[in-house]
Amino acid sequence: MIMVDFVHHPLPAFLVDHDLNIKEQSELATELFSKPASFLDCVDSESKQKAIDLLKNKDEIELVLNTVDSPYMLFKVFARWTDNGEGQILCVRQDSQIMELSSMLQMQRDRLAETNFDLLDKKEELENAMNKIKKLSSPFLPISSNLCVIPLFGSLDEELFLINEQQLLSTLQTGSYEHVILDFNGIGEIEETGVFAFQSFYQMIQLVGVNPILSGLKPRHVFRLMENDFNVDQTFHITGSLKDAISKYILSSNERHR
Amino acid sequence: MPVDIKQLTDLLLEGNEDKAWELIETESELFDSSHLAFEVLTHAMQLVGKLWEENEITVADEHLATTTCDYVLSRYAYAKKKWKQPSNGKRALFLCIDQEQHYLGLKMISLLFEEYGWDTRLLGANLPLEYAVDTASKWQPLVVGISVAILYNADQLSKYVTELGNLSNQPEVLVGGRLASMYDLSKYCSTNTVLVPDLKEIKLWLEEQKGDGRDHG
Repeated sequence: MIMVDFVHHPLPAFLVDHDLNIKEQSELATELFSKPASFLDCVDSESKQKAIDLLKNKDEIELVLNTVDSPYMLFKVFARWTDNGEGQILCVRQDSQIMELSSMLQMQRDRLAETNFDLLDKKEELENAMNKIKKLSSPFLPISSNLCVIPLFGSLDEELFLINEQQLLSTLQTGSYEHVILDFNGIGEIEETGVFAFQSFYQMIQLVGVNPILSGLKPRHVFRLMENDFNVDQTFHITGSLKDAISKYILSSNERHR
Repeated sequence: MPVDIKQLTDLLLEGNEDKAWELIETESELFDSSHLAFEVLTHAMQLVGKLWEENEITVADEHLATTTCDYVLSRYAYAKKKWKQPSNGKRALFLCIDQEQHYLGLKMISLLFEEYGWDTRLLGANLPLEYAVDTASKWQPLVVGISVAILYNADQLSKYVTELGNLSNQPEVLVGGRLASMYDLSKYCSTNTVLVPDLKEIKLWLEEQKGDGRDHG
């Protein structure tokens, strides 16, 4: 029989009997696992069945072992058995490599999550800012007791009306305005969905009993409105500039009141 | 099961995220019902664990399968984004306790919450208590979901449950994860803690909350 110097073995090593009771162990094994009676005493509860099933049949298996410092550490465990049922068990720590790998993965996940949260925060901020801009893009300006102006700014899109329509209509309804001038001077792009929303806004202005007038329309605005079937019906006054519109309608109402 | 779990498991172990995704995506039943899709992925990951017990694979293989599964989940959530319910303004925070690396189940739960219109934050694996408390007191979630999978981590659970449950806005604390399906964790929890052993329970809970909203609103 070959004598093995277990005490000075360069790895945590055990000499066990057939039932995995420990007969001898290396210094390093004592350092890591103290002095268990059975090898199974150092095996984590959820690795025990694996150890019982496979330690005898496989040359090497991975097991989670309870060490003095940590209750949960991954080892590669090598076993050799002699004919008389004795076995040598060597334990090699896997944790350092695996932990490194898994902490790298974790770091990458954290970074992705962080970016994700930052983006979410920025998105919320941006949406709020956009809402504010839209809210400021159609101010209500009373000119006289029966004339008011709503200058429109930015893109003529669905949001512009979604955000401001209710407020504007209720202001128009409570005042006793005869005419409202919708000024297009500050409008850049006109979007298709914006034309439909504008059409419905325009009709609702009429429903609350006010006459809408368009001013400041540029040729490209007109083309874009026509492309999307915006109806210019007979009651519709299209004048040139905002200045013309205001002087015309202030004048006309003054004449009538004379 | 609508897909071959063994085949899915092999793809996860190979790190073949595209094929694994295809397998889920092409099965309409799975694409329509997230909790079925998540169950299929859970079964596949359970098989991964079993293969380790049988010494067929190593822990390194498990890590690759986990990352691949994570990717498939993200892709699933992205693909289903437009079917998600509009935001209900409720917030839920999800985390794994300190040293706990098993975060996939937590991610699935968080995605289910999102589908039901919740705003969620997934803080992920291995979160020390002070960070959890810090985030929860700043973000003021209605629900804090805690996941625990490894038995020796369970001792810490009660600290998390108590401290998070006692925050000023008193969030509801949900405890789930593999351990919750294997053991009765009530001794680590408070009387208000909701224990959720699996995805079905979460779905029921979410349906209940939805009902609540309607009744009171």
